[in-house]
Amino acid sequence: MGQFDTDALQQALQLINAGEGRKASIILARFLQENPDHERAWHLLSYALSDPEQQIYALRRVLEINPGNRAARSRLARLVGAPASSTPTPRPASKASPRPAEVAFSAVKRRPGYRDRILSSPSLVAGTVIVLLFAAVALAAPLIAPPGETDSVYWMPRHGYDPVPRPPQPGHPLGLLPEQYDGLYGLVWGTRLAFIIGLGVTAARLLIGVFVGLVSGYAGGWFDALIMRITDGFLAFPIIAAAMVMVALYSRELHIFPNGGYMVMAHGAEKTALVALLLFGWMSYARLIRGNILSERQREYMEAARAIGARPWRLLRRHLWPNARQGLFVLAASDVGAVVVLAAMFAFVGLLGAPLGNVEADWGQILSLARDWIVGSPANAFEYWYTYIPASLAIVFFSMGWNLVGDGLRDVLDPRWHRARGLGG
Amino acid sequence: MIKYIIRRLLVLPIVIFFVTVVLFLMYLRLPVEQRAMIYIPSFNPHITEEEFERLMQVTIDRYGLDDPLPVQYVKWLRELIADEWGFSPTWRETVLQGIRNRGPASLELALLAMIPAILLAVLLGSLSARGYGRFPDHAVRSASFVAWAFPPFILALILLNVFYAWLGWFPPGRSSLWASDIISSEAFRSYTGLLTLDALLNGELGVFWDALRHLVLPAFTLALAVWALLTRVMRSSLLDVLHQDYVTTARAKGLPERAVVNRHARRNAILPVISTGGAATSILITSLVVVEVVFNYNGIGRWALKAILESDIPVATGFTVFTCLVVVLASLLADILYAVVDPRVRLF
Repeated sequence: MGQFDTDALQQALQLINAGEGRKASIILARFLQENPDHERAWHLLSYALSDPEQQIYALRRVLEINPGNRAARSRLARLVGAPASSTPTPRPASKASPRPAEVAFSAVKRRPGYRDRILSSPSLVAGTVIVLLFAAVALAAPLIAPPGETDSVYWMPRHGYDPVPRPPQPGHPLGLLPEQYDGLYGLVWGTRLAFIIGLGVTAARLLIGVFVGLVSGYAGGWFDALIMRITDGFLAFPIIAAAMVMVALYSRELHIFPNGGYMVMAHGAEKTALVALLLFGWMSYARLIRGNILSERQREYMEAARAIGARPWRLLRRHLWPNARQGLFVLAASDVGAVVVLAAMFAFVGLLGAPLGNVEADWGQILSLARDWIVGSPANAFEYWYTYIPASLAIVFFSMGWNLVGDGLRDVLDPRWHRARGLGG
Repeated sequence: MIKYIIRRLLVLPIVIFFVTVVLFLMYLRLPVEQRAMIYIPSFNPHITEEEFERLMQVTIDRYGLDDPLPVQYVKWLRELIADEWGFSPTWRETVLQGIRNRGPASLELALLAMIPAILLAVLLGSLSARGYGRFPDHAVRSASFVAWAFPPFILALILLNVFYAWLGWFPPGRSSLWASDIISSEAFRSYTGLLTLDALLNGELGVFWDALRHLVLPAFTLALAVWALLTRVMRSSLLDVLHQDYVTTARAKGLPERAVVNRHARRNAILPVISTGGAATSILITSLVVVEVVFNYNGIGRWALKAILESDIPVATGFTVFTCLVVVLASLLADILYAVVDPRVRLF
């Protein structure tokens, strides 16, 4: 028992302080089933409950267990409206110093600020730290890895033409990738590219999705039904099939040589797959916004706003939108990570790539280069670990960071989520 | 129930129509010369400019590339379906042949990944919810968190390095050389196209083990992501259900916790798992392509990707239509399963 018990009480106290009385009362009720004579638990329960009658009952139980609990007695007295003098304990003489119960009570009333709530979510804190670390690397890229002599800083400079990678050495702390591209350069500038791609594509997805969702939900009727069928249609495309067909259609050029041979060459491939990523990725935003609008537009506050003669635009902007965007940023945060993973995947299989002869400083491109060297040599299977482990870890932690931010934002921004789930997930 | 299924089946042609329209619009964005080139897989490069112009014009006329849009769409669609979905210049076979030849391999891989993943997700998800806040819960949650963090293609690379290159346990590919010899021999009859099943039906235990050995790594990679997603869904949905009044009633009757979960709670808790599983098919296909590429597994994803990097438009269109069909059918299946578990749905 011991440890777990105090944990439960500690958790309950924190929940009460966070204003989550209902959740606290569930935990306490469970706890009290096993320890019906626990004074402190009954006392805490009286703060977790909102119904005065139930509070009185809880406080009476406290006094039954320990008639000397002055805090409980005085609070009970206030609730009942008369001094509870059924027990012989004398009432406290002085009122000068604030009693612990009152301190606790004021904690219940105080609405916890955003800072407390952000700090109360370990996922949000961990996620933010990870994302900020990546952001620091992205900002400091020119300092960590000075650009070489390529046309774009996002193309990796090469230090030779040997296909065999070289292990870490002075000057190249992460070794040289196959074809002698510098591993550290790719990793560091790849961080920048990850932010650009992740934030850019997500923002575009969000804008399209919000627009479609708003129009569809606000218009309603057959128009809404049509738009939603179209959304379903887009959802039928696996994202890779969409990217593949777009790359095949738009990013290849057939070069015919005078001798009759021909060769297919990449052309503009660095953009096409990203366009596919946003053209076929806005649907969850549209569905979210539409669903929210459909449930919000029926509420009384909307009717009230309409009744006082608010114009449609004002209705939408001032009343509907603040409520309809619930969950939008939660979705967007985890989407940033997902987009970067997909982009890396496209680069890995060859659907994304810089113009011929250059390799983008991109995590997916690094993995694509490293692909044939992963199995190492017969003597040492891990001989070329440095070609793919750093980029892999970067992708894993980048997406993990954004996922944690998303999870944490959900906890912090939307308390309804908890309440709907009873104990929370 | 039959009525419900029929009503859901009616949605199928609508979605397929939409998919083809989207593809057609994408294809329309190309200039007409480029579209004509799709129908001319090869020509004598020594022809004069004039002859080339005439070839263009003939092709444009023949396939109606400057007809009004609806007419063009119908012609395009007919061309798409005709002759087994077109001829792939990369693989020198028709698209439908390619799908028929390599589809079963991918199906085998997907089944071997999905079935254990779903079963384990339901099992461990309920274990986690029942032990809320205790050790099994923490263990399952951490495991699913880590599994979720690893994108399939990165996990595949790491597994390949450790289990193939280092330990040498599980080779990439679909079968070893000696097994391929048996499979391609006259005596070996292909019943289903699923190699493991065929090997058993032919009584070739060695081939069966070999096929299984080749399937372990790709199947595990695919399964892990699905498992992590569904476990999380199962856990939180069972937690929700366990706090509903009817569960409290069941407990108040004095039922043991096992019976409460098994008989009363799980059936309702499994509903979100079904709908998420249906929606996850499109993610599964995306992972399937990459996993097949990394493990050199001779399935439909690797087949399509190789052709598409050569700008093989018939394969690109055919693969997209085929995978969309799979996604729609999977969501249909999920809907039906949902209705079987939850009779309320059938009322609408």
